[in-house]
Amino acid sequence: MMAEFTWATAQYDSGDWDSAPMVPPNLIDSVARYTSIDVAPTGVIVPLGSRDLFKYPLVCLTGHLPVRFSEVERTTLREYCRRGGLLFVDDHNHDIDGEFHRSATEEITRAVGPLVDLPNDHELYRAFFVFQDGPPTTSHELNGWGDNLVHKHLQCVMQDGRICVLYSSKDYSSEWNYHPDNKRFLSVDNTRFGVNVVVYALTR
Amino acid sequence: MRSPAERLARRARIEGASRVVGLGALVLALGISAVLAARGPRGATIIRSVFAESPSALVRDSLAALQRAGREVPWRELLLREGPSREAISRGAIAPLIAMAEPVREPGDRWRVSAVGAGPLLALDSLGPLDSLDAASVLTTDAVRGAVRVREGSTEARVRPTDRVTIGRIVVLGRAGWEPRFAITALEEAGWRVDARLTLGRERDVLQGDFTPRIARHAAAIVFDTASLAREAPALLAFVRDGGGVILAGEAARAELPAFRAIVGARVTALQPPISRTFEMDAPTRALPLYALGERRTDAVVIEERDGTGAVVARRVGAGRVIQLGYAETWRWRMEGEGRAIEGHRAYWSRLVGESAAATATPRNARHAAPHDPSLNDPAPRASLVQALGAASLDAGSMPASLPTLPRWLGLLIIATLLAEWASRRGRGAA
Repeated sequence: MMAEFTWATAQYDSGDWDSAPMVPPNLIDSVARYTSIDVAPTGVIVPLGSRDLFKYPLVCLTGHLPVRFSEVERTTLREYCRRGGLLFVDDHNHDIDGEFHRSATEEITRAVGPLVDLPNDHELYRAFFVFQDGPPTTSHELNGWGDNLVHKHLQCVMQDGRICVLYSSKDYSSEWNYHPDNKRFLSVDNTRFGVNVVVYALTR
Repeated sequence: MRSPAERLARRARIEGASRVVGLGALVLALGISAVLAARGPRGATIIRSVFAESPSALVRDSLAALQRAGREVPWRELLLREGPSREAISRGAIAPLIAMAEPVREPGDRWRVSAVGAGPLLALDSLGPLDSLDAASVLTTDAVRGAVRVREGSTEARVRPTDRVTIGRIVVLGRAGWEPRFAITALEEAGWRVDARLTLGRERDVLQGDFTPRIARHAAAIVFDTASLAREAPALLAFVRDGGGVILAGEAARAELPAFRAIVGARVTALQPPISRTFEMDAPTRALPLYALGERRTDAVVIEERDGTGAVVARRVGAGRVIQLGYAETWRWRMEGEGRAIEGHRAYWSRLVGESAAATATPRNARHAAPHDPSLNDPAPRASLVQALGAASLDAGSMPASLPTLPRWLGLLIIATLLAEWASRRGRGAA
């Protein structure tokens, strides 16, 4: 039998789905480091339009470029959410109303439903580590381009009281896209929120 | 010497006297028998019944009362012809039918109607038809109104649902993972109120619902991992002995903790890989890995088998019940299954918990309850008829046809009268 949890990255037909290749090993390292979850040592890449998607109840999707889902991807994502899966989408840009953001939110709305702001006191922010002020900011938001564009909320689509799509414009893909060994140079591990996402998916 | 005229006159007198005596005796016998019949001596009355349909409980009970009072109450039923004439099939008008309605031991006001008959059945409540059924089937239906009736031809079985069950909260203990997570999801969707403690290591637990360490306040506990089983062993053992339900799933089903050895019904003897690569609608569990539950105790009950291998085993312990679930990764059924996989996975877990959880019977809501009319409870009309009156007569000719019995002396009197009449005639003939 497989490990309890396998980090899965969604591969979609359009855009650059593989723009953050170091995120999976980094987050796998964090999950193993902080929790007793039985985590597979390597992640998998799973096509968004494939039934293999259903083998991974938590799947992450990122990219810089415009996103256009095929009809099969859209249908599969809708069914995935209905069955209880959670898709974590992160805009690898940190801008506001950029191409990825506009196209991805349109596609999510068409496939599953409209995104709404996730309250900053949602249980996601207490699932493992506690984030009193909601989603942690990223260095890219604060000074990456010198624009201090801080997104105050994550967004989500809820289904039966559970998050089925979690959408971030905070560019965690850049924030977490480094080799796990380099965590030792950080005073506070910036991947901790990723652990919360995993724990939330595994418990709610 | 008497003259011939005197002898003739004497014979005529004797003959007249004999006739008077005979006629008098006959009138007396008939009068006595009429009086006896009017008084209704024991065993003197036969009530023959031919039923074209199942008699009501009132009729049946009345006939049974007469039978107990000494009447003979033979009965038979009309034979109905069915099918083409060359292959005509005869069957009785009163179908051998039995129906039962019991509350589903799960959240919600649902009822399980079970019926066994000889042909197609129709289930109804006071609002009308619920569903059609096969000859032997089980129907689960939402709140029923009034009595449940199951009909086969002109025979109708009636059952009056009286109580419903109330089941308390469920507690889930385990390590954070897809199996407990999707089990909780399924149970909550089915209406169960779930508290949970999912461990994440280093004494970090995720608590859900209204979790408190007091397991005893719950109706059932589902344990998924060995660590939780060991951690809560004393509480779980006391809980099940006091009437709670414990489901051992995942790793906990195959844990061989000494404390639990005395209460579990079986041991895991082998790991069987999935038999099917896909979750087929009619047999989804074939796509799951199965920890075979063998070496079963004599009092263990196999609730589910897969190809002859124990998959779900239950055992009574004290006032409670322990269930071992041999299937692993049932969450894949919900995520990867075909068709109504979500509903199937949900119903499976809900039923599993319902079979183990402690339940309290409560009176039905008066608005939905049937009136307390005993005739509304007639679950097996033919069986009740046979029980009340005995087996049916094969046909009308075989029914007992005895006349009212007369006292022996009256019979002798009638015989003597007939002899006197005969003697009289002989006497006249001799003259």
